[in-house]
Amino acid sequence: MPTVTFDFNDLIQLIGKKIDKERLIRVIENIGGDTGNICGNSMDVEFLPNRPDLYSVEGVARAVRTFLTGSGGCKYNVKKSDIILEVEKTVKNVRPFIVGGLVKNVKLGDNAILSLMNLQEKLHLTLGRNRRKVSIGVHDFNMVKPPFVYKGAKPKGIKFVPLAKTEEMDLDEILEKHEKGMAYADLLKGFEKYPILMDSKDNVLSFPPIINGALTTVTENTKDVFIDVTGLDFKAINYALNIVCTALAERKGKIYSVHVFDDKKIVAPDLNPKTKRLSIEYVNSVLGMELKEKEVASSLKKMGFDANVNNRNIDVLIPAYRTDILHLIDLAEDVAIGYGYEKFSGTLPESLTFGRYRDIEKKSEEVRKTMIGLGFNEVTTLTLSSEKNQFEKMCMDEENRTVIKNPVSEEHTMLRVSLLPGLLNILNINKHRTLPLKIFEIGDVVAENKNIRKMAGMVIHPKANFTETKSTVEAVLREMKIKYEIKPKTMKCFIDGRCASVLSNKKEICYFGELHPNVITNFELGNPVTCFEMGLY
Amino acid sequence: MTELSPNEKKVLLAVKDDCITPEKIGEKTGLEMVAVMSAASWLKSKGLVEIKEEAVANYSVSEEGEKYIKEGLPERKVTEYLSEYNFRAPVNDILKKFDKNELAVAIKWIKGWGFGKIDKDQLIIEKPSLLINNRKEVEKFLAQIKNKGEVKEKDYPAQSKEYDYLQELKERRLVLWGMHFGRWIALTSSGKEIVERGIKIVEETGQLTPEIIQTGEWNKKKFRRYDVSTFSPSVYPGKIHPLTKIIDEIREIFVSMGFREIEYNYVQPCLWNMDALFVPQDHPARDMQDTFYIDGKMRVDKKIARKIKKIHENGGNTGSDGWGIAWDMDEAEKTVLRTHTTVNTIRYLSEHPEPPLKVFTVGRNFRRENIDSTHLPEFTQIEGIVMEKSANFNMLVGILKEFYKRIGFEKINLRPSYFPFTEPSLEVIVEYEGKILEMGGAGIFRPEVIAPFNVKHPVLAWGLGLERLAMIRLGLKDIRALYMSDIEWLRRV
Repeated sequence: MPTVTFDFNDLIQLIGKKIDKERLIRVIENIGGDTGNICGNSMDVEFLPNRPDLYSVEGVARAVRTFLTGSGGCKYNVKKSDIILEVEKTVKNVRPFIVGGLVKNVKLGDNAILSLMNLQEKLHLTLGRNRRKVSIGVHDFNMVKPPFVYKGAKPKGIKFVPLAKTEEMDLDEILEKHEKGMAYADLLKGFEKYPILMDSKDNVLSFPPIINGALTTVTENTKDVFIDVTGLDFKAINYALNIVCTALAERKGKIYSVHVFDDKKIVAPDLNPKTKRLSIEYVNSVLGMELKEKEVASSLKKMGFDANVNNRNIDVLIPAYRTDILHLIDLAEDVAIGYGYEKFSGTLPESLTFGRYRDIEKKSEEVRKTMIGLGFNEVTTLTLSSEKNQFEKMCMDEENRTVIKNPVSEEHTMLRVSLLPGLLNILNINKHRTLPLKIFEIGDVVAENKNIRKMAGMVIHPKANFTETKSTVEAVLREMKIKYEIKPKTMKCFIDGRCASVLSNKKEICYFGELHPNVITNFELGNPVTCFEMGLY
Repeated sequence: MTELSPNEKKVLLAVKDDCITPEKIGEKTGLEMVAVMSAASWLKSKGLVEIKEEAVANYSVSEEGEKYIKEGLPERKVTEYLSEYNFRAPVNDILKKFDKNELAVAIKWIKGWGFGKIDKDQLIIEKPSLLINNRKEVEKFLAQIKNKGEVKEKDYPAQSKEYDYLQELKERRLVLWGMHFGRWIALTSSGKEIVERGIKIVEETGQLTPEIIQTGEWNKKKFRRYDVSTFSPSVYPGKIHPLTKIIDEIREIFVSMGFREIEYNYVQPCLWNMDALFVPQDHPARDMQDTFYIDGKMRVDKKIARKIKKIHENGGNTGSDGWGIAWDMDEAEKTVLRTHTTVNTIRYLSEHPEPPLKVFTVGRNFRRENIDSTHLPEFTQIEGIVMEKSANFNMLVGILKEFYKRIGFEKINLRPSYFPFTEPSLEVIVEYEGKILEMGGAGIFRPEVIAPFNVKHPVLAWGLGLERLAMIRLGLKDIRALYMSDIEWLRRV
């Protein structure tokens, strides 16, 4: 989950209301923040992935303020401007969408610049799906001259000084040499033209989604901030623009519109709230409460919505920076949060149902009791295993198995087909323990992508032998009340002539024997090992 | 006075004034050596005897000696042969009758003891009868040693004939020499006092035997008092793994609350693991970074897929806006190792859309993690759902309070949370030993999640991680102990 780090005093100032730290922390937790490190005036808070509007200190301040005052949705005026951003067809196949906005007269102290950079980075990661879906550029507006143009450019056709460099580079050079270029080059792989945003004097503002030009670097002297947001999803880039513009507006900035000349003419940012009509009955049936219209409306206002009571309904105005309201249910949740989770005292289900265990689990429990009675210790091991453990070290031929496409280690490349290698690994871990050791596991193996419940037992000591393990197997079968016959079997992991198959209704249900010294030494053990494995169907 | 066992008393009496070997004590008392030594060491610890240990030499008959016991010593045999020739004969003539080596030995000792001499290649025996008698005695002594098995030098006083014989036999290698540690037991002064005061032996019984019981002897026996604090060796029972114990405890809680247990396969199509749970197709959890993918595609129900597609793209008829991004069947057919047990609950729900319904599942899940002290690529989730006509958020709170109370958390706090498939969502916070811990998530399945399966009533869902609970309960710092267990830990935990 994204973490926002902020300065306590900065936050208080932005809230514009006195509040002590304790209470502030409680409010933040009430709106879904998880307070982590608090170090002097610096505070880390994790916010939920559905609330990108809270990824900046400005956004948090807005949410805390409305929660405290119940003042409802924040109004941000968008002033008209004559700034034009033209979109050329040449960019459509690589990164089709762009919107822009201007925020003038922002007070950009250290805290504000840091917060803006962090917000940009968090939005890139979450809403932007690591810049693929959305990427944001912020610029010192006074360094460039509109109208702006967003177009596709040939990789070698344009040169500019990218952010954090002092020399001009062409687009290919940036992808090859600039650290951001190398990090995100994949996003432009295979395209003939790359997206570029320029002003009327051919100055490069940005090379989305890679890097900005050095020219428009935002510093503490920057007063007017121009924001461009490009991407693959029109809805998402607008959310990002709205979140950034309104965050800057919390720093006393004034938002100005940008005319985007695309297939259609758009005026951005569009900060008009969406409207949803919420019925009191619906809210109460979801929450299991009997809330009054007023209570629902005031809860919504605490959560930053405007709410107008209209008979038994409430018309809710959803701020343009709230990306998480897909359905009325999302508003019902905010009613519950605004009302306070602690006020729900709880009721119990009314319906009568009968509890029941799975049959296979009951069977497993029975077998487990038998094994405990026989003096075996239960172990649990991982389902993830490897060809090396399952086949090679067991001296067995490879068989069909569920293979992992993107393993994270050599130890875990497939799902186990047998429990025996896991037990041998446990014996290996316990090499230095006094013998005998008697262990067993009940767990699922996977064949043809299906779970199969098995039980395996294993014994190691200097005199471990076939007879001993046969007695154990027969004890288990006796307890399970299974009729069976025992036939010789050949398996490469067992000593030839010391392996047997247990058949019930002519179907093999178990095999057992003395492990071959090859297998024993492959698992770095030095004593005879006997074992069995059976299916619990 | 320290209490003495009957064996200790017997040993004390056998030692008396002597410095005596355990073997002798054994002979005198009729006790086994083990019993003698055990009694002796207890007496030593009580300060009544001292046990001296010393290396001693002993002798046994060699192979050559054995031969002479049978045939006689060579010098006697040669002398007796020469009696026919008046005890003198040329050496070459004697060689026709005797082996060269044997004759050499005979001549060496005849000369050496001054019984005869060699004169002009003739062997002359000067004191034949003395020689024969003396040699017979040596042979007899050698035979005696053989009978005893072994003798010690100190068994024979320095001036005795036997002492001289032994020296000769040693020199001739007819007896062989060996070392062993001898023990002697002697009374200390307090031991002597006790013996002088007099010791009365009452037979006491240690191990109760079938014989004693069956013959009725026990009626007359006195049973020895045991030192109940004596060390006894550790034994360990077969044990259930601690994770299984906690799982079983939780399963019992669920069943006692009227829940039915369910489970599905680990290998699932994305459709069930993600799409059915309204996880958008561009969600980071679908990354190769986070989720284990399996080769090959899995077939999914086309009718369900079509409904899910609509809901993801524009909300379908659920009243939702949907995610507003294109939904791709290919993505839904990809195969993964399930990342949560919610797969189980949604699948069960799809098969059982009618209320009332209470089911739970405890199952393994997988995520692409490296192993360290707090992470494993496999983990176990506990999850329950309730569907009934009047289910609601307040009921979820009530169920959570009851459930957590039953697993041992008297008080829980609830905070807002987020899961793609529930709304409202919450997080359960518990206080345990003064620490505030996140202990699971909960919520009501979103309308977008239940709509494709014609589920018409709210579904309350919650889940928590088993390993986290287990580590807290067991006081574990390292999660690996659960799946790569040290047997010693399992024995003690």
